[in-house]
Amino acid sequence: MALPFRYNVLSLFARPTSTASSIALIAVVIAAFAYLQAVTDSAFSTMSATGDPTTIIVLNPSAESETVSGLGKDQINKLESAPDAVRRGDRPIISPEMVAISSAYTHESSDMKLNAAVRGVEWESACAVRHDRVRLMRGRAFQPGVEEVVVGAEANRLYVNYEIGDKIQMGTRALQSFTIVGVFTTDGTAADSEIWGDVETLRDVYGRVGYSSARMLAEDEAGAARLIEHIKGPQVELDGKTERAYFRDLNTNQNATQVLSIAMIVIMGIAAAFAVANTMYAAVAGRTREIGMLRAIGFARVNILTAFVLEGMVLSIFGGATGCVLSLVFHGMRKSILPATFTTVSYQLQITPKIIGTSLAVAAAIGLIGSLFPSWRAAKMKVTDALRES
Amino acid sequence: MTTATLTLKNLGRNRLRSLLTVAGIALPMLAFTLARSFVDGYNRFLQASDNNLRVAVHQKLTFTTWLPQRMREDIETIAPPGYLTAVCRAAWFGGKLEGSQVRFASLGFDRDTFPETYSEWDMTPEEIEAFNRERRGAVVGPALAKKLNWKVGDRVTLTGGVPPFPKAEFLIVAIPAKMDRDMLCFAFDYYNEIVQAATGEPVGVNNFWVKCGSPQARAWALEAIDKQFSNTDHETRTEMESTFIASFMRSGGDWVGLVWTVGRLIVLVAVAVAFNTISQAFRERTRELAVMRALGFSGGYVVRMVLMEGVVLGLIGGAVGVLPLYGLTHVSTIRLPDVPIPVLIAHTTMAMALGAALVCGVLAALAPAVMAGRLRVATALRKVV
Repeated sequence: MALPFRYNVLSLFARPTSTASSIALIAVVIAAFAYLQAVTDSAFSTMSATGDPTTIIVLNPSAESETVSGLGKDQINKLESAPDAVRRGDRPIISPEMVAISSAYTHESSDMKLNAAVRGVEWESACAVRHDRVRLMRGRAFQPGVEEVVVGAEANRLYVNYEIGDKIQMGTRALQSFTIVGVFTTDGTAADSEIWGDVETLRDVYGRVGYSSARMLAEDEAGAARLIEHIKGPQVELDGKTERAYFRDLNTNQNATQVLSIAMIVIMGIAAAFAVANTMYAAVAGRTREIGMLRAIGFARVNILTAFVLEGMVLSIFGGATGCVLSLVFHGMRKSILPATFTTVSYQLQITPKIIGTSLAVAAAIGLIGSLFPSWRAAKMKVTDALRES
Repeated sequence: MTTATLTLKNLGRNRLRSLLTVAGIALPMLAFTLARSFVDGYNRFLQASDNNLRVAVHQKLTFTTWLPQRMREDIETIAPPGYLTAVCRAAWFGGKLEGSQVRFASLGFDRDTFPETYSEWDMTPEEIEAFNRERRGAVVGPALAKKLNWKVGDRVTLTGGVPPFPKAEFLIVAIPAKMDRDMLCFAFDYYNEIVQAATGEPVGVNNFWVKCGSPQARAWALEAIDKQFSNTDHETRTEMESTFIASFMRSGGDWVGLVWTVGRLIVLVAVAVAFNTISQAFRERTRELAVMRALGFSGGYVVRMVLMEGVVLGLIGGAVGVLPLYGLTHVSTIRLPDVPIPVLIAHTTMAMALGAALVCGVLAALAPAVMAGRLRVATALRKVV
């Protein structure tokens, strides 16, 4: 017969200081772990939140990102015949876009300019291929042919002097000033960090012959696959990706941080397991007679083993839960990254259920590893010796 | 018996516990030094790059916009004699090796001024000669060469990452030992040739590296070049090399800050580990402490004894965690996979970690020490543990 679970929990309360300090320890480790996960995950989720699986982004086959991609008007015209694309009237919706870079100081660091993405679009079709997720929060849309732009909500927050009425310098030769006339949001996608203006006006200012990319829309994921096949096929000979795949592939230059973070987390996890081991060894030593008695009244070695392992795990999970609560202070914190496009994307840290789940699992693992040896010691005690212990 | 020997004997009573505690302090301290050495390495790298007196001149808004090649001569002419020792065009190639996930920078540099621009790499006259002679010659950083198993004389084919995405073959002519960048450098004229063939247009310049003769010359360059080109078709922005590189690295998310934040959190872990054990150890010894007090040891003595235990545990933990790696990094170079900066534990970092470990021990022992000092002898003696 197994020992009741209550026994494990109540035993923890019997040594409040020791239990509390172990919980605090694991909480710190888990909070740090959750923070690191949030930093990497949230960057990823902002990038692939844009990543609609039915929005197709068409690129030059050699280009990895929109910043370096180039498409001629003739190449975009070939997309007209694409099957499985969402149509308006008898023609598929195509949004030819141009991506360029401007730069600006941020509120956080005034000594260094960040690269801001500039996107030339045709407003109506750009909104259409984004499932009409684009919403003006303030001001109005830009006028074609006029030196006006709208800025995303994150760009508006991140960069200095990015308010309605302010001017932004753009272009390659003889820089032009564009006036900000509105602020838009796409509810947390990478576009929120961008500056949008009329594609033809911007092509002129940046001296571009063609476009950077084009976006199209498929009915569903199967349609998207067929559409991509057509784009890559002999009739068009371009590269097509779902936005989700595009952003997933871009988000690859964070290896160094990840390696270091993982190294530190593993080290901290082992230290925490040692601390649990310490606590549990003390618990076992302090309860030798109790263990002897439990054995004497008929509990098997395996019951003792499980009881102590469970106790250690409950302790760690408590600590893990506390750590998760602590990590909520990071929720909503803002960070920015520079993916392979060389343009800054700003995002909010999010402590998601997935992060909480992994954190608790790691806490449980720490508890398991840390309590295994002490529990083993408890289980293999001889009944007679244990009972004699004072 | 002195307090010190008493402390050591006490720690020896429960060897397993002392061992686990030492490990519990040592590991976070190891992680702390790793984090700190990374932050150090990053700053050292930036500082060192400024000792080379190079500035980067790029288009006013972004280095991704090309500047015309002739601006090299413009820069050379406006400089007073002796101010600039080399002006070198740099054009981003961004080549990828087919079937390889390894990312590295590849750029075209002017043949004539490249060795002087990067004079700190100490390229030998033979290497410079080979680079000048071989049309497709490439100079590669030793760490990168090692990773990709490249040797001098190897031919490699890369596909460019920017329009017109040309395929190009290079011949590795030098792997200078002192080259501290994971870069493949080749001749600008070769790149120009390739782009001309593909598009009919000359290749654009992402930035000019301007090597200055003195700090004064650099201060001049930072101001004068931008002034010269203001209100022209090609407005420029001139930056210190460290700013230019840091804007690459830092805007890629503040990873240095991230590592350092976690590095400091880790110290808390060590405090918690030490506190956990020391408080446990003394709870078990409450009666013993009471006996000592009853025998006439002062409250102050008992407090000192408890604190001493914390100090010794902290110091041993710190030493075990930090010293081996500290020694190791000073006799050989250690790299973590995918981390561009080698691990080097500075003397200050080592001292900082030992100090932190000591503080850890003291902080952890504080509560048990106060408890021991306030002990009511009669009650404690009655206590059954």
